[in-house]
Amino acid sequence: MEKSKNTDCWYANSCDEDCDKCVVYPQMKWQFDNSGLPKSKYMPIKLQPQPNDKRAFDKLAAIRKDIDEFVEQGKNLYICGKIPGNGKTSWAIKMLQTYFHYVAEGNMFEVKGMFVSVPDLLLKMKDFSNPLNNEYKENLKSCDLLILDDIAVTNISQYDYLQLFTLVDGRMLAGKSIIFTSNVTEIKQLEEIIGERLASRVFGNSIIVEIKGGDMRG
Amino acid sequence: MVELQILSKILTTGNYSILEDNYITSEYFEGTEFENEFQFVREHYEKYGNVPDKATFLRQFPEIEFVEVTESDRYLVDTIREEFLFRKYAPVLQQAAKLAKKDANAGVEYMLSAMKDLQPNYSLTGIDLIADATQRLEHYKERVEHQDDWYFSSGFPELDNVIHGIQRGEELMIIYARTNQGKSWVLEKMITHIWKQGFNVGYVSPEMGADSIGYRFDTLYKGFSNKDLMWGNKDLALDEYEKYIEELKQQKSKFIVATPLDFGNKITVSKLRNFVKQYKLEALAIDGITYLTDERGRRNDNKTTSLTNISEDLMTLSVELGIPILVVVQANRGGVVDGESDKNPGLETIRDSDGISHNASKVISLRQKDDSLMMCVEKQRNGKVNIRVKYLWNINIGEFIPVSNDETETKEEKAERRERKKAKGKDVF
Repeated sequence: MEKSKNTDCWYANSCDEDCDKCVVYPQMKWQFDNSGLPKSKYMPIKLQPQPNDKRAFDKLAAIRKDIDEFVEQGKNLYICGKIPGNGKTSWAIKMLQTYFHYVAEGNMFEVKGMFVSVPDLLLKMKDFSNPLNNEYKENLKSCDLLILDDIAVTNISQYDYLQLFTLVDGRMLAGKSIIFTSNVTEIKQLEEIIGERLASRVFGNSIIVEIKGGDMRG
Repeated sequence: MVELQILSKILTTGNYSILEDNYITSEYFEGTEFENEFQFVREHYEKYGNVPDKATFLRQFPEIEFVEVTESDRYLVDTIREEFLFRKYAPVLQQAAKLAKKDANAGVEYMLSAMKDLQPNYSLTGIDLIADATQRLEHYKERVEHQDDWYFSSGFPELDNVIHGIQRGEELMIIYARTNQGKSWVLEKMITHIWKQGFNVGYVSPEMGADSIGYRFDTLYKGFSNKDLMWGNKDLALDEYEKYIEELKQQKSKFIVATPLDFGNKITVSKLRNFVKQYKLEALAIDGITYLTDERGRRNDNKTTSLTNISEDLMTLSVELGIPILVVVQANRGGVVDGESDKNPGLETIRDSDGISHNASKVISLRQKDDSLMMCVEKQRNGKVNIRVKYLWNINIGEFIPVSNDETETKEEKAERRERKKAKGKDVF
C-alpha cells in the first residue's frame, strides 16, 4: 500500500514515514496554530545577507542553532535596524519556527511560543468591547518564547506603557525569553518612545543585533 | 423469619459458630415462633458438642420446613439483633407513654432507666493486621503471580503506566472535565477495553440511548466510522459491518447498557447493586453522577451533601462487590473562566461537591483541544499526581495515538530527543 504524503509538512522532503501514522506533524501544527503567526509564515524562508550584514546574520544564525538553550537560559534578543523590510521580523520568526522544531513534540497543550505585533496587541488591549480572553493573556505571560514585533513603532500612552511594562517586566523576572524587533537602534530614541524604564529593561537585558542592510521585500 | 434462616443454616452446615462468635443467646429467640426449636439445638450442642443432624431435629419438630439461605452471616446477625432490639424497645416505649399520660416526669424517668438495656448492637468486623498478616502476604503473592486478577488495563497504556491500571475492587474512578471535552468517550473507551479483556461490563447512560452507545462501541472496538454509523452514511462498508455484527454475537462477555428508564427513572446505588448482581457485572461505568438519587437524602439536603453521600455509597458498593466503578463528573464553569490552554480543570472545579474527589480512589481530569486529548492524574492513592498523558484523538474512528510526554521523560531521553531534532529537518530550519 502506498504511503500517504502530506506536502504541507515541514519534514516532507526529509521524512519517509507514512503521514497517516505521523504524530509529529499534528504537534508542530498545534504549536503554529496557537502561536499567533499568520499561516503564510509557517514555513521558514531562506534569508541572504547583504554584505554589510554578514556578521549580524552569522550571530543570529548561531543563536537560532541553539535557540532551545537560549530560551532555557531565559535570554532576550533585540533585533533592530533603521531600514524597514531588511529581515528583522523574518529573523525573529525563524527563531520561533526553529524553537517549535526543537520542542513541539511532547508539548501539545502547552503554548511554547507566540508571535505578537506590538501595535496590534496594544490596540486589542484597549478594545474593551471585545476583550482578549484569559487564556491568550495567560499564554503571553507564560509561553517560553515571545516575539514582540515592532516594539517602538510609535509613542505610547500611559495605559499602553503600563500594559507593555507589566508584560515585559513580568516575563523577565520569570526568566522567560523575549525577542524584540524594532526600527530604533539607539537607547536614547527608544527611551523617548517607550519610556526610560521600559527601554532600560529592553536594552539592558537583551543581546542586541543590528541589521543594516536595505529593504529585502522589493 | 430470620430465626428460621439461622436455624436452617446451622442445621444444614452443622456449624454453630455464627451464634457463638456473635454472642447470639437464647434470649434472642425468646417469644419468637422458634423459641423451642432453638432451645433444643442449644441444649444438644452443649450436651454432645455438635449441632443435631436434620433427622434428629425433625424427629422432634416434624412440622418444620427448612429454607435455603444465601444471605451472609453478617446480614443474619445484624437482622436478628435489630429485631431483638425492637422487641425490647416497643414495650418500653408503650410503658413510658402510659406513665407519661399521668406524669411526664415519671414517663421520662422510666424511659431513661430502661435505655441502658437498649443499646444498638451492630456486628463489627475488622482485620487484625498482626494476627492476619499471612493473609496480606498471600494477597501480595497473588498480585505478583496474577496481575490480571487484580487490575484491568484502562485501554490507555500510557495512563496505566502512571496509575497501574484500574483496580478490580475498592476503586471509584472519577473522570471529570468541562462540557464537550470527551468524558463519555473516554469512559466508554475504558469500559470497552475491560470488556475486550473478557469481562462483563455495565454502562449506565442517562443521556444517550443504547444505539448511540452501541455505535460508539463499534467505533472504539473495531474502528468503524462513528459519523457514518450515526448519520446513516452509505460510505460505510455494509458487508463488513454485517460480518462484524455476526462475529460480535459470538462473544460471551456481556456489555449491558441501562438508561434511567431501566431504573424506573430513579437511579439509586441499591438499584445499581441489583443491576450488577443480575448481570454478574465485573465493572460498572456511570455516565454522570448527577443523575443518581441519594438514598440517604433528607428533605433539606443540598446538592453537595447528596453527591457526597452518593459517591461514598458508590465506593462502598465497589468494595462490597469487588468491582471497579467508573463515574463521569462535570467540572463547573469556574474552570472555563480561568481556563488556560495547558491546564486541566483542577479538583476544586468538580461541580457541586468536594466530597466526590474525597471519596474517589482515582481522579482523572480531561482536556480536549484540536483533535488532541490530555488526561491528568489529579488523585491516586499509591502514586504520583499531576502527571499528564497526551493523545492525538481521531474521534471518528475512535483512535487514540499517544504523543511523547516530556513530563515522564528522563533527562537523558530529553537530551537525546533534542539532538535527534537538531539533526533532522536541516534543509528547512
